[in-house]
Amino acid sequence: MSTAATSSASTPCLICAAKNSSRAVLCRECSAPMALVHEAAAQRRAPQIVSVIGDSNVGKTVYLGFLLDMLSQRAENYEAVPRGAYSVDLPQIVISHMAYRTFPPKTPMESNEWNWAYYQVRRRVRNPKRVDLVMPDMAGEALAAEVAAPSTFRVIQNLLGKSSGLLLLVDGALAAHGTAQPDFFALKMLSYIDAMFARNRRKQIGMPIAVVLTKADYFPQSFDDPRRFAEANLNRLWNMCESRFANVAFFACSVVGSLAYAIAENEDFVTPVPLHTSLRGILEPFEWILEQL
Amino acid sequence: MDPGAVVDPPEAPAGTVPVEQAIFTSIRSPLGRGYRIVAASSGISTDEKKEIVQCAPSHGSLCASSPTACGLASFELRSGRRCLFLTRNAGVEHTARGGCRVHTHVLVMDQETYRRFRYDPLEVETAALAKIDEELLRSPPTRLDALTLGVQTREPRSRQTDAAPRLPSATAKRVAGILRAVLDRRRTLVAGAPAPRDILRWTLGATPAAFRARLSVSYGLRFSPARSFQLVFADVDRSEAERVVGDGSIEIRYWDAPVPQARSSFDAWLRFVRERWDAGRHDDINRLSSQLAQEESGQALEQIATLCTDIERVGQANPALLDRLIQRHSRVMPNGETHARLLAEFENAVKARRVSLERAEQDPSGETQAATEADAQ
Repeated sequence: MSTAATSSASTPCLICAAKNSSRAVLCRECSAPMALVHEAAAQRRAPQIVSVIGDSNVGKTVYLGFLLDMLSQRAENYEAVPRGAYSVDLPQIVISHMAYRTFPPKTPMESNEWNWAYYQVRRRVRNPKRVDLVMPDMAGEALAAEVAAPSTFRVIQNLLGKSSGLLLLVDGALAAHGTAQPDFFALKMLSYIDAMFARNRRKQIGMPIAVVLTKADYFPQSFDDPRRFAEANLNRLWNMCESRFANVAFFACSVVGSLAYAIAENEDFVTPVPLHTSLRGILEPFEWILEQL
Repeated sequence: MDPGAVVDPPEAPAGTVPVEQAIFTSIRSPLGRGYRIVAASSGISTDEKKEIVQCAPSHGSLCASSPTACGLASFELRSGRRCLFLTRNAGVEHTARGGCRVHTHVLVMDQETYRRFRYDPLEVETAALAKIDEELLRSPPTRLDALTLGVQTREPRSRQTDAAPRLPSATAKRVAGILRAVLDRRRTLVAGAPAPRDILRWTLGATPAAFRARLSVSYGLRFSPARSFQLVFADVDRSEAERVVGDGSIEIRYWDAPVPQARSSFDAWLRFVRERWDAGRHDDINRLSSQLAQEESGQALEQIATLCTDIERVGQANPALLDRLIQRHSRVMPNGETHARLLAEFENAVKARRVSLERAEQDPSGETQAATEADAQ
């Protein structure tokens, strides 16, 4: 059996506005789920995009997976309802892997393999503010490639261009150990965003950006004053934020309670093993972003 | 249109051609980590590198997870040059989050160089794997020079005969169906094909060079819209296939499903190919296809197929049949160099047959009987 029928009706993608047939599951241009469009239409309001960005292996997938799971479990009186079963894939992948003491697999660069989450979020208080959020889990290498050569991955360009807020994850453990790579990546990322959003070189960009120092279990002193830690250990990033961004907050977070390292016989690589999770600082950056929206 | 491949005389030595190369993989280095171009020869432009990064296979992109899994992709860059991905699993990825590190050796060449390989990515793959140091898989370098590949100037007779056994009839039918899709220029994803490399080789062997020159193909790599080539061999289940190509822009062909009974303007060529395959003459088809650099329409290929068949019939034709064959091809204008060459071959065969028939008239002991039997066929 072969399938070759095409549909004449067209639906614009929520992310890139490309026309797609009504049967399409993924956008033919950017591979964003077309379910986003259908869900947004059902809600009768456009969702806000909060992008989680960062270098490869910084912890975007783990962070986002735990964040969504915490929201689904009504942490801090939040209520988060997934719009579409696909939105639950990411937390399920992360929680399942961590339960077996392994980190989830690397996110591929191919955008059709990314996990997308569309959640309706509100605080369970009187007169709650409801926010529909779309949060894609992007591959760090794709972000790096886009920053190095803009328009390499138009889906990233479109996503960032439409974002209402950003969670910029930075590998605090590497920075604490003196590696400059996280600082350079963050600087490049912010330069890219600056070039994208800056209308006037004299005016700072007002989009809220939460800088999240990940793997803070390596440097727990950062929980006390993440802003000061960033100023001391990520000075390039710090200076860029001071110069060009009006609405930046610094946070530290950690997921792993204790980490072991395993090596098998006849192998020359070391596998990190998360022995148990101990979540700290996951919700605060998101809470802050939500307040800014 | 590039000129057709000329069959060199048997004594011509194998030549060499330079091709640009790059490595796309995930390693940790002072300048970065994760999947990226870690090394490239200087002849690959910035725009070409960008295009390569857009579709290069990253983590988990090989259909098989075994350490010996491999894949190939061949497509045209926007610059007009041909790009090939030779992808292998290469040990554990450096962050050790499960799965193998995917190592892709990228080759970039101009169309003229690709023509030297008969526009056959499998030939390029074979030549490249003979030259690429296995050590590059374990320890990718940070600098690369252009790679020199050996190219055969003549199709070695023994290689094709040894390479592939005769196709079973059911497989031949399926391969012909894939070939029909290629000639009709319909994008096709073939799911679940056993030995996809062999199936691709059979398909390419019967695809005229005029089609092969621009054809984009892949095998062994997971399907992705970023690698939405004209012909893709990948393992994909139905739900995944519907998810990724649900808009119907690509025809999904499941290997075990019945072959669709579609009609095509290339049916005459397909029948000719099937006849040659059934007779074990895949060498002839491969050689002929490599020479058809200008004949692209169904009508042109039908003429070629008919001409090839009739050239063989001439040798045993009686006068009546000979006249019919001559009439069939007498006012035909050649569609390309190969067509012209075959017409000349036909004319020579006709002349030789006339001579032998005249001799038979003078010596009627054996020739007339053989001609009558040929006519009856």
